[in-house]
Amino acid sequence: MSRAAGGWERAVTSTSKLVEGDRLQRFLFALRRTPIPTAPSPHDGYQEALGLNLLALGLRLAHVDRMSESLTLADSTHMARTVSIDINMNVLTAEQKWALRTDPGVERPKSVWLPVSRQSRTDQASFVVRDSAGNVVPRTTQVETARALVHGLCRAFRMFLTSDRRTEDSKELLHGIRHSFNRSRWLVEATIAALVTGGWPRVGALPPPAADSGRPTDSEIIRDKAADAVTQLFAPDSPFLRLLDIAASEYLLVVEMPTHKAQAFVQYEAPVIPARSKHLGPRNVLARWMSFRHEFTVRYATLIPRAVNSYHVTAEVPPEIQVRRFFLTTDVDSPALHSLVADMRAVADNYASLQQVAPKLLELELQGIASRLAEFGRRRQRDLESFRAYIEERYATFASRSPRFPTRHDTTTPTGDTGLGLDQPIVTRLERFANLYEADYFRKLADGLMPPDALRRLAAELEATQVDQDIHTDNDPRENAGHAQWHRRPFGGDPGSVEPVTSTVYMALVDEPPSLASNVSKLLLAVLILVVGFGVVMEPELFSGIPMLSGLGAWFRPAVADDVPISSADAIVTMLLLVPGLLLSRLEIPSNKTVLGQLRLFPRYVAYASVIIAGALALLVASGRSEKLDRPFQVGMSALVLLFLLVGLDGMGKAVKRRRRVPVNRVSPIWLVQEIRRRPVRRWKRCRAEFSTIGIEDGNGGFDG
Amino acid sequence: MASPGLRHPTLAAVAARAATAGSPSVLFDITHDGPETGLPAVELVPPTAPDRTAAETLAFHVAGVGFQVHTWIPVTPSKQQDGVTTSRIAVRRHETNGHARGMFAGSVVINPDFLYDADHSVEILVTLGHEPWRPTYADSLMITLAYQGMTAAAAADHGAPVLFLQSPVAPFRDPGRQFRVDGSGEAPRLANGMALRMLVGLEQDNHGKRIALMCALAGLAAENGFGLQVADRRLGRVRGEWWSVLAPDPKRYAARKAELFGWAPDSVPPAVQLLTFVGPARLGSSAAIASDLLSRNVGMLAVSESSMQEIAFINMVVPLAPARIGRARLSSTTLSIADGLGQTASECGLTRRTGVRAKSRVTDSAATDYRVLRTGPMRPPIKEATVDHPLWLSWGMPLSDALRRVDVAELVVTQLRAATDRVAAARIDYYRARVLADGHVTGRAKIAVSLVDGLSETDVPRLLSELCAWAQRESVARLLDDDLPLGAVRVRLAWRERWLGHTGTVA
Repeated sequence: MSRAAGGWERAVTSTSKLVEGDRLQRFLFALRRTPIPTAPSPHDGYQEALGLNLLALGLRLAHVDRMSESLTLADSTHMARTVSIDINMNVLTAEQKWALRTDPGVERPKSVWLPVSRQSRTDQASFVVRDSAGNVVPRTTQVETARALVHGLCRAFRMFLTSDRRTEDSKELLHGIRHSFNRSRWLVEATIAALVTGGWPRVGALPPPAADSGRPTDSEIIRDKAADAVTQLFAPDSPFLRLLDIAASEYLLVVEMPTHKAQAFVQYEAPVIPARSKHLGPRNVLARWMSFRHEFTVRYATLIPRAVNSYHVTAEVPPEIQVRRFFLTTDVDSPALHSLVADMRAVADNYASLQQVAPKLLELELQGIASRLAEFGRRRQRDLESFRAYIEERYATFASRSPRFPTRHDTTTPTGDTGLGLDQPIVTRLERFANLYEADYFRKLADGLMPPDALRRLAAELEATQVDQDIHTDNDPRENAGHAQWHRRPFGGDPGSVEPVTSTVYMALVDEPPSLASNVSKLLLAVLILVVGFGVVMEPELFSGIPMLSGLGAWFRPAVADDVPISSADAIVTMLLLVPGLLLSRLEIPSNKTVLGQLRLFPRYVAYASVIIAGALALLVASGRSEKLDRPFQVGMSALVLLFLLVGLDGMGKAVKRRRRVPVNRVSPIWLVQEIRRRPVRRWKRCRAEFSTIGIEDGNGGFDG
Repeated sequence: MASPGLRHPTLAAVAARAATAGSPSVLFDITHDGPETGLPAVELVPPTAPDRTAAETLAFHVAGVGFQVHTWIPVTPSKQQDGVTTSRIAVRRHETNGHARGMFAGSVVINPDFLYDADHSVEILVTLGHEPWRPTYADSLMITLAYQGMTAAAAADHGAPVLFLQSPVAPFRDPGRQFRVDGSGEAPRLANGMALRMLVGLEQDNHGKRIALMCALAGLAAENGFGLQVADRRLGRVRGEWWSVLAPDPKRYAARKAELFGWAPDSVPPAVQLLTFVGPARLGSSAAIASDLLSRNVGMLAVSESSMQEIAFINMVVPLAPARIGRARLSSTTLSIADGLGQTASECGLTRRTGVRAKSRVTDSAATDYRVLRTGPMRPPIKEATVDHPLWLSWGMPLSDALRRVDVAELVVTQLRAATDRVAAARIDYYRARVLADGHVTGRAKIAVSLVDGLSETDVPRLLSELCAWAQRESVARLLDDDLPLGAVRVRLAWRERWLGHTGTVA
């Protein structure tokens, strides 16, 4: 258990948006800055119903059956993606279809507006949506959507107002807001409109109230009344403010869908996303030029609507590059884990009182916890098995022996207690617990098998090791493509959350043989032979001790006087310049903006260096005299040998990386790293290029939208 | 995740529904059934709007009296029942040929703050006794005490909503050894016993509340000798699987009854009053009503509380005080909550007004704007105790004209009555149906059957199994005659409640 505190921690922050109390404060701030309307805003029943239905459908996206994403790396810092969505129109009810009709005048709508995805407001690009036949599907402009949302949210506000029983008491402020303080009511509606169209303001200072002979001004009274009414109506965690938050910080992609088809398909090119990584900042020019990589690692995070049944992600790269590792992790079990951990803590806090009031109540709570722990054990064990099978399969592509995983602990032998406190990786412990639980070993948990301390420790550890993250591995047979499939696995009768699932794809791209590195080593060999050859010919004494070369030098022994220029210098210079130059021109060296260019950065520098060495020698031969050539040849040859060594080291590094069983980075769930490495991790690495559709990432590895 | 709240999508859905319908109010019908007003068959069509189908239907009958509640969303915007009014609740008595027959119609503006999902909830069964239901005056006060204790426990601290509460219900006893051969056994249950079943909705991130609620209920049960069972929380367990926390303690119960209500007559009440409290669903409203009733010593024979389309309906069968029996004729009235509770106290309070424990504070409570609908007195035929067995029925199918004519539960009951060699009597005790937005009807019902005399105890499970399979098959065949496609019809009848656990979505 102490391991959790050892080296396994990794900053895992949540996708939380505004803090609960923040929303009300921001709303009140916006209310202070919105101009006070002098006339009521128009009411439009069609827009109200449309806006609220768009919002309700956009939140759950229950009509989206399947989502497929196809990722393409445009270059090393930009990713293009194509999203395909299967829509089930049967989910829509007749009333919803009527409310969402595209033509307000018709009796039986032929087509409806339908939200197909929610986008962060930071991604502002024009979408072209196509249907299965490739025809462009009409979509609403953001202005139209915003208008409907404003109408809908104002309607929801009035619903809150009319249903509040304080509006029946003429002494209450809300009664006044509903019946007589019209401008305050209009101000609240105007604020809603301003937020939806303009987004949340940044809370700052407000100007002081105008000193009008000590009396408050009209506008101050109106604003105070409106602010009081909002505070009375909405608690800081009110679902209304949460709805407003979503409408103000996200865009809905709304398309026109015909109603006569039960199933529909749409596809759109999502905006190109730039990579976010500290290596790619404009100031890190040196880092960009000097960072050699054996692997180009990519992380791509996106959100899947919780109602989606199946999600596919495909990535394809140019044929010169291979996909070495490709997997997908999601936090689909996170509501279940959240509820389990909260239960564990609540039971631990009330352990004594539960035991005192009714021991069987404590037993029930513990059994409820244990059954869910066992389910987590079974799920993660299955994921672990599939990941190990995947790594074995990857090993089979380059080696005949299978990978060496740490020996697994015996998970079927009873340990006398729950076995959850042993010093073993979490999934092993949970698996043993699951096995023993199903074998009825834990029928009396309240007898001290799960004391409060153990519950608290385990709860902390479950969160720290990300037991809610599942893993899905690549199943694409092609070398330059990866595909992973995720499907929904409901967690028993646990609450069906509507928060979207965060899914993260990890890709490691490599340049496998026949790679540039192998071609460069050939070039290096050719240059070395050339230089050694000229060295033997021109400075035979350098090789006097070496068996073959000294004889060769004596046999060649050109008749060159020490103090005259070399007569065949032209030929030597030509050879030293031409041969490496010709060889270099045969190499395929891509632009270093591309992924391939990034992967080939090191061999490319080696190739350039070898040509430079040959060129420098040629320069010396052309200018110098023969007696001064022994040192340059020595230096040149040792530099070339050094390069050889470097290439060799690079090759070894690649071989080590190829055999790595689990990437230690922010994508791999901690339980997986723990299970496969068995050693605490010193440093969690970042990926080379990190893409995300979620929002702006903070430095700690979470997202902060 | 910081706060995986579930309420904002629900709010969006509720508001969208209201905006689409053009009215934030929900219309409802309530009928008080009894020997004097008639006991109509359960159906999906509201009695005052024969051209509509109710979105939600609830029926609850016990000992020949009961309630039917229908709710639906109006077609025309903001249709109010009381003409021009700013009040959010309006109810009026519905009269046919100048006679009030216990029928009411009204509308309520929904409360968008009451958004709870029945998915994350906890179900509780409080058992007063395992004998067949036949409460005396003193027992009825004990039921009020239990009702008050349960609702107060739910409303304590920040409060959790009571989504459903009912009594009498089928009590549960842990299966004896002879029923546990392969672990799937269960003893046939009793259709009605003195027991209360409550479903409390909980916020997703409020786990301490559940434990506090449980502890409070365990304390209540231990103090009064009640049995307490809680829905099994283990993964994969479904509704109808109970975890026994405390067994009922008859001695403690009797002692407590004598201590608290020893002055109450020890006889079965011959006349009752039917009450319905209606208003927007709100935290703590039922606790306020319950504590008021208890403080005025009003007993309770039966209660059925549920929220339908975000409106709370609290239906009660309350015994008339012995001194008041025989004075009044049947009448139906609608009253404000203060007047309603006051009149109830004067007619049904089992002690004199001066003997009540505290002054009513209901006008300061969450139930202050509720309306009270009263019908009475009625004389329910509470017979000698008979052993009835409950059968649970769940169904789902597309809404069709045929379904509007004949209800599935009624059809199954008719079918059961036809098995005269096995069944002596069959009736619907509890019925809940919902027309989903996609035009499907799902429903659940509890049907009580009395088997013919002369059967041995050990034969009952086998007989019930055969009966359920047969009635289910025959009912489906009847439905198919009405041109419903076989694939669209789902009917399940079982005498073990948990066999329906995975199918129904309706309470």
